[in-house]
This record gives sequence, C-alpha cells and structure tokens, in this order.
Amino acid sequence: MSSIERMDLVNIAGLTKDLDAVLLKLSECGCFHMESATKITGKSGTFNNPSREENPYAGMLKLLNDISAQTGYKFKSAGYNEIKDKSIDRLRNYIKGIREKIEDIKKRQKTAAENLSMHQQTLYQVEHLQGLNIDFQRFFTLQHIKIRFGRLPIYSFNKLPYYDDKVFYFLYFSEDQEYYWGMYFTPVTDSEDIDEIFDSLYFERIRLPDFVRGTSQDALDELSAFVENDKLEIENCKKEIEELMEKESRNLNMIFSRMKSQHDNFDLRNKAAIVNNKFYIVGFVPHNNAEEFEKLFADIESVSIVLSPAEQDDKIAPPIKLKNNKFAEPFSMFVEMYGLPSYNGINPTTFVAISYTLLFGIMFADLGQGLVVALIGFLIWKLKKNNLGAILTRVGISSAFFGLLFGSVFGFEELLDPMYEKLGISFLPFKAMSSTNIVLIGAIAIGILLILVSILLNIIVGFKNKDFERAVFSNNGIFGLIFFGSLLAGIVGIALKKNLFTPVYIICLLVLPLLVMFFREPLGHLFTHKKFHVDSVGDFIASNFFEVFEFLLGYATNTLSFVRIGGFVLSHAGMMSVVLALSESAAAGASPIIIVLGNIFVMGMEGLIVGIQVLRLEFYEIFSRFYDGEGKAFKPVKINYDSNNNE
Amino acid sequence: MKANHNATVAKIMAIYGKSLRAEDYQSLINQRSVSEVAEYLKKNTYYSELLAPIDTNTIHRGMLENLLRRSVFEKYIKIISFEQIGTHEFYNYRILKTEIDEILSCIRHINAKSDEQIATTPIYLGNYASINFIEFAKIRSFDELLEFLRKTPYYSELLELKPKEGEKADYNACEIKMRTYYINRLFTSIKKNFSKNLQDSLMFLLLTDIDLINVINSYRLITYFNESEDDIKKNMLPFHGRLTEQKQYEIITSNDAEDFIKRFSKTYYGRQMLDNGYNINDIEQSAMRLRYRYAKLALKKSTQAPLSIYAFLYLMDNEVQNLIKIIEGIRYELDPKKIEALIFI
Repeated sequence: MSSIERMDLVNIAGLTKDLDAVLLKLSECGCFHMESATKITGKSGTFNNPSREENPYAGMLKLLNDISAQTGYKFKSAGYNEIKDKSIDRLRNYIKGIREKIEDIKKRQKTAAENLSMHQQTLYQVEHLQGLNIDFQRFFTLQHIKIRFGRLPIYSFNKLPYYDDKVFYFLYFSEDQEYYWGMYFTPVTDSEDIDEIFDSLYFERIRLPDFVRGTSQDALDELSAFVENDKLEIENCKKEIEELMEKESRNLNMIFSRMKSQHDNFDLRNKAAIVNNKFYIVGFVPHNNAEEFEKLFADIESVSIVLSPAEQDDKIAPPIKLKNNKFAEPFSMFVEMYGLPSYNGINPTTFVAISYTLLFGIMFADLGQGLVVALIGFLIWKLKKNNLGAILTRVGISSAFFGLLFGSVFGFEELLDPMYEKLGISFLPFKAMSSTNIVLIGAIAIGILLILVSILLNIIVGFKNKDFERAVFSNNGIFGLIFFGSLLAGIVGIALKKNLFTPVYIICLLVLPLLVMFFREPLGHLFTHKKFHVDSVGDFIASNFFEVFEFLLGYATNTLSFVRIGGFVLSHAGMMSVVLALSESAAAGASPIIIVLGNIFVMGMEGLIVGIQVLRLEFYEIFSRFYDGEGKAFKPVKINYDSNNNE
Repeated sequence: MKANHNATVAKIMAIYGKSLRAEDYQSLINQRSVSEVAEYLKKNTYYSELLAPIDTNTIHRGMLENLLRRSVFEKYIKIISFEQIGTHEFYNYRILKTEIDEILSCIRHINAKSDEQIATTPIYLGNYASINFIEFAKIRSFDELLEFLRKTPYYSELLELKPKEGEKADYNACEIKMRTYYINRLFTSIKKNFSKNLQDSLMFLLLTDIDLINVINSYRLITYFNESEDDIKKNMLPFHGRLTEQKQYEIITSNDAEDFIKRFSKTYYGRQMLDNGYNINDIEQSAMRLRYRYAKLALKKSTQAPLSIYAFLYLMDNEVQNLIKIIEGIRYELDPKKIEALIFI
C-alpha cells in the first residue's frame, strides 16, 4: 500500500575542523535531506553562515570544463583513492599541461579551418571568374586601378547608393542568401578611402593567391588540392584530440570526481551554521535509515547527532518521500506532476494507479490493441527505463481485459462471440454500441463512486490535520457527503419510481447540510475555539452565497464530467467501425493494409487522448477534492557528476 | 476590434519556445571568440537559419550584431504577416519606434558632427518605413533634418526644438519630445481599439516600462550630474504608472545616490526588487531585470495578440542585447562571471 515515508529530524553539531569530513559523509550516504540551518537558528547574528568565501575548487573545475567544452568529452564519475593525497597544485599543473596540448591542436585546427574557408571561397570565386575568361595575371599588373575580390553582405549592398558620390564600381558575379560575390574597382588615388568604406560595409576580401594566374582550370585544380589538404589536417587534429583524451581520460575522470566532490561539499557549507568554532547542520533522514545513519559518524569524535520526530520543529516542514507498492510505483510520476502531499497528508498513488488503470481500460477497451500497447510499454520500460513505459504496460493489460469483456479485438466486434457462446456466458460480450444508455449511466456511476471516495479521503485528511472545517463542514466534508449522497439517492429513487424527497428528507438531508456549508468558516472556528471575525456581514453573506452556489454547480459538473468515460467507449467502437468499413470498400489487397494502418492510427490518437482525458479526470475531478500537493520532495544531498557546469 | 488572434498568440509562443535558454547562455559565455559565438548560435540554436549562409570563421562582430538586430525585425514581420494583422495601426508601433530611434540617432550624429549613421541604419525596414533611410543617413544638419521630415508628423514635434544658428540641438529635450509623441500615439491606439481588460494589461506593461525608465534617468542625473529638481523633471517622460507623481517627486528630490535608493526602496518597484531578491544598490541593472520579468510574465499569461507581440518583442530585443553583451564581453576578454551578471535570463 502507498504511504509517506516517516522521517526523523536530524541535528548535527561538531567542531568546524570536522565540517568537511561530515559533509563528505552526508553526500555519500545518499539518505540525508539537508535544510538551511539558519531556518532554525534564525539570522540573529549568533550563528554565522560559514561559506561566503569563494569555492576553492571552482577554478579547477573551470579548467576541466574548458577541456570538456573544447573537446566535447563528458567527464564521468570515478573512484579517486589513487589521487586523494595529491596536492591541488600538482593536479592543476597536470590539467594545465593537457589543456595546453589541446589548445595547440585546436590552434592548428582553427588555422586549417580558416585556410579551408579561404580556399573554398577562392575556389568559389574562381569558379565564377571562369565564365569571364579573364587572364588573372592582368589584374595584378594594372597600374591605375585597384581591384578587390570578395563578398559583400546583401544588407550592405543595399547601402551602396549612399556612396554614390564616391568613385568605385562594384561588379558581382553571383549572389546567395546573404552575400553578393564579386569585385570592386577604384582608381589607385581613391583606393584608401574606398577600402575603408568597404571595410565598414563588412566586405570580406578574398585575396587571390599568387598561383591564381594563367588558366583558371590550373587555379581550380590547385585550389581543390589545397581544400583537400585542409580537410585532412582538420580530421587529423580531431583524431589527435580524441587520442589524447582517450589516453588521459582515466586520470582526468579521477581528478574531475575528486574536484567535483570537494566542490559540491564546499557548497553545502552554505546550509550549515557556525558559532565560534562549532558547526551546526540540520536535515532529515528516513526513519528506517536513521540507525545506520547515526553510526556513520561514530568515528568523528567531536560530532554529536540528535534524532527527533520529524515535526518537532515547526519552522521546517519535513520533506516527502513516497512509499509505493510495485504496481503503483510508476504512477507516482503523475502524483509528483501535480505536487507532493504534505507530511500529514495521504499518498494517493495507489488510488491513482487503480483508478487510472481501470478508467483507461474501460475507455480504450480492445483486446488486441491493449496487448500491443502493453508490449510497447514493456519495451519502453526495458530499453529506456521510462516510467511511462511501465504505465503503458499496466493500462495496456487493463485495456486487453476490458476488450475481452466488450468482445473487441483490433476493432472486430464479433470475433469473440463464438467463444462466449461456447462457454455458455450469455451476458458477454458486452456490446457497447447497442447499449449506449447503460454505457453512459455506468460512466456516471463510476464517476459518482470516485467522487465519493475522494470526499471520504478528504474527510480523513481533514481529521488527520485537525482541520474540522475541511473534514466536517466543507463541500468535501461530512456534510458535503451527506448532501451529495442524499441528492443522488433521491434521484436514483425517482428513477426507480420511489420518491424519497419528502419534506423531512429535504430539510434534514439537503437544506441543513447546505446551511452548514454556508456557515462552514464560523463553525470551523467554533470547533477549534478560535475567534471568528467578519468585516462586513453583507460581504460574508454574498461571498458564501456564491460559494455554496459554486459547490452545487461543482457537484453537477464534476459528476457529468465522467460521461466522457462512456463517450470514449462509444468513440473507440465507432472509430474502429469506420476503419472496418473502409477496409471492406477497398480492393481485396488493400484491405489488410487499411486495417493495420487504421489500428495504428486509432491506437496512437485515441490512446493519447484517453491517456490525457483520464489524467484530467484524476487532477480536476478527483485531486481537487482532497489533495493539496504542497509537500516538498525529499532530495538527499549528493554529488551531481552529470553536470559539468559548476561555474 | 478583435484582438485575441489565437493563432498569432500560438505562433508567438512557438517562436518564443525556441528562444535561448540558460544553458545556451552559459555555453555562449564560455566561448572564446566572436567566431565561436557565431558557430555556437549556428549549430545549436534557432539562429541556425539566419546564420546558415554565414562563414562563422570570418564573420565580423559588427555584422553579427546587425544580423541579430535584423532577426528581431524579421520575427516581427513573420508574426504580423501570419494573420495579416500588420495593417492595424497598433501593430505598426514597432516601425514607429524604429523611425523615432533613427531620428534621435540622427540628432546625436549631427551634434557629434559624425557621418557614421549609415553603419547602423536599419535599411532592412525597406518599404515598411515611411523614411528613405539611405537619404536620411546623408543629413548633416538640423535644418536638413526638418526639411527631410517636413511631410511627416515628426516635423511639428521637432520644429519648436530647432536650435539657434551655430548652436547644437538640445538632445535630451528632443528625446523626451519624440518619446512622448510615440507613447501618446501608442496610448491613443490602445484606448481606441482594445477592450478594457486588454487596455489595462497593455497599459500596465507600458507604464511600468516608462516608470522604470524614469527611475533610471533620474538616478543617473542625481548620481552622476547632481542635477536640480527642475532639470530632472524636464528629463522625465510625463506619464505615471505605479510610480505616482508624489512618489516620483520624493525620489527626484533625493540628496544623493544613497538617499535615492533609500526613498526608492519604499516605492512599489523598490519593494518588487527587494521581494525578488534583486540588488537594489545596483538600481539600473535591477530596473532592467524587473522590466524583463514583467514582460516575461505578460507573455506567459497573455491570450491576446497585442500584449503577446509587445512582450515578445521586448524579450527578443533583450535576447539580442544579451548576445551583444556576450560578444562585446568576449571581445574585451571580460571574466565570464562579469558577463553573466550583465545579461537577463
């Protein structure tokens, strides 16, 4: 059964010289949720926060991050006993040495990339010049005209009219999305001025190398060879880096793990408090781990640990760790999505698991499709360890079960009829399409049942928290239950031709509960002996009148909201009948294809919609009645080796 | 008029969903050159399409910055074209703002006797603008500027601020005049066209912007120029949001920076800064941070196109400003921590 794990409040005190050793143990034990000690000590000044100083390991991690950023290598956690006594300076020098090697290779790679870019652009330029049939040598021998090759951003090209009083001519050979490729001519006397203008327009000059002379074909061949060489050099550089990292990865991972651990532990100091030469740490451990936890610090003499019940200090709320059975475990994802329960609340995971599985099964009832969904879910779970996979397995089996009851297999509604005939079960399979009223009434009945259970859960939570207004007088309390139950009983009575709505019934079971709900706040205060104060009686009446009116609307809309369960039962059968009708009207060969594609389509679309709709019912119609979702998660302190960015 | 334009709102959210995240900024800050920044943007972000034809190895800083600025305008055009809402006068505000920015830039260049306005002229506005920016960049005097603007509504605004022969124009007065004109146009358009609710949301965002701009300006004038109350007043935009006239009076009559912060901390915005944990002593950065926060909240909650567009473009401008700060920071080899402190995420 699902519950909330009991916690113990832990107070740890000791001498500051042992603080780092204690923090290391805390982050290694994996069961300690740390709180800021100042929450308890306050900011009175008696206690100081010890760590306003800069983290001394941040610099080392930055060096490692640099290496990671430059090489794309992700560091992994590794045991670092071998290097635990090595001085930080020695390790720093080692890392710097590697970084220098990487930087050297990177420099070569950058030069090669720049050359490649230049050669490719020149190639591109020369390719365009080919059509002009120009002898390149002539460009370089002109005495009065300067010629510059390159590319001009289109954005800048549009600014050229601004310079219409200047002496130059820009000729472009081609254009792409962002540039005009070409050359500009200008008299030698004006060239300095014009070069400046083109610089300001981000003209990227391409210097035609000396060899670009003679025929353009020779130049093209030469340039292509350069391009190949540049590419080879870039590849070589990449390989060298890979080899270097492979060779050094063991040492680097050890250093990274040590630095990361020391860095994160140092950060934890922020949550401790210090007075004189003593430190003080506060947090929580699960009650089951408490004994073992206490033993961890036996070898540190100055440290004393006091364990007390989780709720002893009302300044800090205990964190929440849900305890679920195997069936319900994956559904904790949905509960956490909404918010965790408070420490005194209830863990609704099992309730969600059962209701979600049942509702999904009913709304997506198909033996064949259900088994396929279960299989897909199983594969997702096995391969990706994703909770959604585990949920799909459960709801898929439920769909298959209800599919068996409804006699639906991949949309074939008559396939199981002979089986039931053979077994002599006359009331099965249940044909949804021919019993629409039963389906819709059944859906509402399920909804009513779920709402009643939700109200009961709210009453339990209310009493647990000694919140009588919530448990007794609210719309989801005892009087709400009486009103809702009596109203439903009366309506069922009318349907069965037995009128329960006598004046006594109406006054005692309907009007009285409504009045109690109207006065729920003063009554709640009366129960807890607290004084109730209203600023204005008029406001009180008006606001409570509308709130009670909203409660009434809520009962009706929440209940009717469950009609969608029936709606989806019918829509599944309807959609599959369309698929089958299409397959029948298609050519014989296409028929199986249509059935397969139709099933895939219905499974994908309807499966998704049903999944969302059931979640909606859980969150809006059920959770809203009893669940606060205000708890904070239990997060044990640990070193996060996955995140490289600590700076 | 119909203002919700759900498809436009959805489109905005779709584009905004691709905007840079904290981890992108973290990676960008750790790059070592403008080329690497451009390469990162090209490979890992939604700027890849913009930078696809660009060779990041050789890109010039100024060109990258221009491209980024242009990208905001392209997003604006993409959004208003989506449901063809661009013809409505409100959505034109972006063009109006850009034109006014250019006119003010022109006055600065005239005063500085500089002919470099062409370098940053947003000619990508093309036919969307009522000004020919190429001809506009050739203006060298206030008289030429007035002549150029004669047939536009800006003319009458600037006419009375024409400087005497041989004197420079009073730039601050021009700025207040032009910004006031812009805000009035915007307010009129909002009040004329939109529902009460939408009016309130838009006005809240706009007036917050104005209040915080006034706070920054008055803080600078008191701290760095020790200006008198009357002079400060002349440099304030004549509108009030939650910084009422009384509150504004209280802060502009501060004796010095310390007194200013003390008085400001008692205003709505001062309390907001403190509640959000911003450093109120760094009032300029915190005010910008607050503006960014309000725009982000507005976009998140908005279901109506005018508010979404306004907030979205503000956030996009901020994103480009962040990138420019990173580019400049890397260029001047600023410590990554310092760059990080300058950007708003």
